[in-house]
Amino acid sequence: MNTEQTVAFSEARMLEFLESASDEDLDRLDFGVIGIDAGTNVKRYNRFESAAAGLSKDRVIGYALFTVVAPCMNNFMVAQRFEDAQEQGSALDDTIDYVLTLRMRPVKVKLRLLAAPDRALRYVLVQRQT
Amino acid sequence: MSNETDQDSLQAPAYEALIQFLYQAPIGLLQIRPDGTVTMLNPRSAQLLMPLAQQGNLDNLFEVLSEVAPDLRSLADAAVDPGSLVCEGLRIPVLAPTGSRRVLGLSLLRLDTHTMMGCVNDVTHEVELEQQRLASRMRDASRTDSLTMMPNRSAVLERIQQALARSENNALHNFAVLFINCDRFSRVNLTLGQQGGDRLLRMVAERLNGTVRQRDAVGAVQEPLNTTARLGGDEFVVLLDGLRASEDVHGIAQRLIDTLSRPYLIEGVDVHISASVGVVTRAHAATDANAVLQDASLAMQEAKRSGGGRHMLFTPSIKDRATRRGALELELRQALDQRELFVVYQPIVDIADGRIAGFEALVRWQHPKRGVVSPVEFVEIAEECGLIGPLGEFVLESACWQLAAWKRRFGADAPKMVSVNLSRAQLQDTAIVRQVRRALNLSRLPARALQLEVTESMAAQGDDMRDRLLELKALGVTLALDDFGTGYSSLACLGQLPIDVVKIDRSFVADAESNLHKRVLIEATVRVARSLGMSTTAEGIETEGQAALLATLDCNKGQGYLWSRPLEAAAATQWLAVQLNRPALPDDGPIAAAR
Repeated sequence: MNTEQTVAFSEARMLEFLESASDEDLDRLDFGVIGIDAGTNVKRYNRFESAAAGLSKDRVIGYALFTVVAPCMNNFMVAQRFEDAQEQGSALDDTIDYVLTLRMRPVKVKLRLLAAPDRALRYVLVQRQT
Repeated sequence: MSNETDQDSLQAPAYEALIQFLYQAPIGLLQIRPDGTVTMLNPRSAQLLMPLAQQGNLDNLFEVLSEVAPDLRSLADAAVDPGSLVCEGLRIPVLAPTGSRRVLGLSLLRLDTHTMMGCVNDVTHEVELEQQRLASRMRDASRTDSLTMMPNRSAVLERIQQALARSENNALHNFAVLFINCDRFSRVNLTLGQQGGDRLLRMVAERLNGTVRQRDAVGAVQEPLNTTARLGGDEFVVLLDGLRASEDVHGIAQRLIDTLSRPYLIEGVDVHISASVGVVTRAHAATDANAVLQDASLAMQEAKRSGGGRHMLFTPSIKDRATRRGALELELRQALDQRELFVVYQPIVDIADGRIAGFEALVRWQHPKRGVVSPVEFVEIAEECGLIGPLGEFVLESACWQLAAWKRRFGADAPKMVSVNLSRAQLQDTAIVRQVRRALNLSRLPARALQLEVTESMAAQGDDMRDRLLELKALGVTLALDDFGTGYSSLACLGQLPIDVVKIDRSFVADAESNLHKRVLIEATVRVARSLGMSTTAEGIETEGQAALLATLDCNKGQGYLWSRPLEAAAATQWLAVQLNRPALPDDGPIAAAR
């Protein structure tokens, strides 16, 4: 329990943790976690993100992230990065400043984009900034 | 917002649908406060504006756009009334990280004191289309002659090139390029002013369009692609692309000339011009449109030289002649510098007593390779290339200088005058009066010792020429009408010209002994001239019989091979010495050598 609580947004071995973490583990995090498969469909969606975005897990899981769930990420800064990494078979771990348009509200966030060639799921981590 | 709350359950389905609608809208929507703070925006807005945002910061629209639309904030401040537009479709250039250039269109509307509503979309494609349309309009403008709205040079060159390509691919494809120049247009421009001249050019264009398009389309093998174009000035081009047969061009060219020669009613006055047409047909067409146009222009010039009001088919020999003329022009310039030109003198004799009245000065060119070149060949070139001024001045000064030398050498027995021919271009130039005065001053000859010869076609042409003749006459020089009988003027017109001497053309003298008609004409000329106070000089007298006949016809003076052919200065001096029974002096030679 303690170890899980100490996992920070900037945790170096984040991808390994996410791979091994259960849904409950993810729900205890204080930042949003969205896991997508090779076809960009949402496979994992934690409680924090659901609350912040105002979208229930059911409405999100199985849907295409960039076209249905979060079209505000469908651009060169986010979607393109995953595509490039996938195409080049390279790892991706980058944190960027970003503005989400959840419910039409501009929300300044930090996004951490995570992918690795040998991992089935790729992740977008969302940390709200105040 | 508790983590337990399912937001979906709190949202009315209609509200959710509305959010989805705004979310998915393919246009960027946003709401800001008057200070630019973004309060709402949809994903499309964020996507479009993100490339402009520093570190993904879309907090304030004015800051995001501060570099590309620096005036936006002041525009927004100015639009205070609710419902007023801050901007509409404001173009914002964006350099995407991929390197491609996009253009955004931004519209902002003030809703109330606290809120502005904006919409942003990608107008790159629209801008590109606009630029294409503009470029196409510009291209049209740059391909149209603004005076006549006809295609211009670059447009017709393109079409000639297309015709060349078509004929290359299809042995049956005939075409012809007609280069049309209005004869005497510059005179019309002078008389009517530029406005009248422009009006005339527009009327010419209309007639060309009417003649070519309506009539020659009939009966063509395929739809012909005729083009009428204006190159500039009074130069027009007609491209007949898809002629049935090359020979047809003769009829069409003549019809064009006939049409253009009909009077034009401008400002209540009938204006008459004619046209010279140079024609290039497929048979002699160069492979390049520019060259085709040049060749057509050469043929046009040839038509003009032949008197104008006609058409001339381009042949390689025309080009050869033009090349030769070009070479001659260059050589003539050098000849003037290197003193290859010289003056020969033919005596003019009192027919009654055989006394030497004077000499006619004639220019010759000692070409280093071709030998002596006739003035027939080079005076026209000199006129065309502007060398006639220095050439004419050279002859004038040489002749006056020579007569002065003879006066020093032979005293009272010296010939009384020297006669110099003026060309049309010389007479058109106001400088001629100054040149004559200068030649007289330099040689210290009295004006009456100089006779200037003009042809009747020049003298009969226009008020300018007449004024110039009067100015020359006012100097005190004698004016002679050269080649009388070969031109347009009749005996009846003689009295209207400020002329002192009528020179009867050699063609009358040659068979005057056998041809009663010619004899009667000479007699009538002499009588009319005398009645008008003019004297007569017969040219081309070769036999004693001709001299005797002209004496009985009361012709005053004569010149011709009977007395002497034209002689170089030194030979003329020696000839004079012999005639005057004076011993030849050693310095008779150097007179010629000095010139």
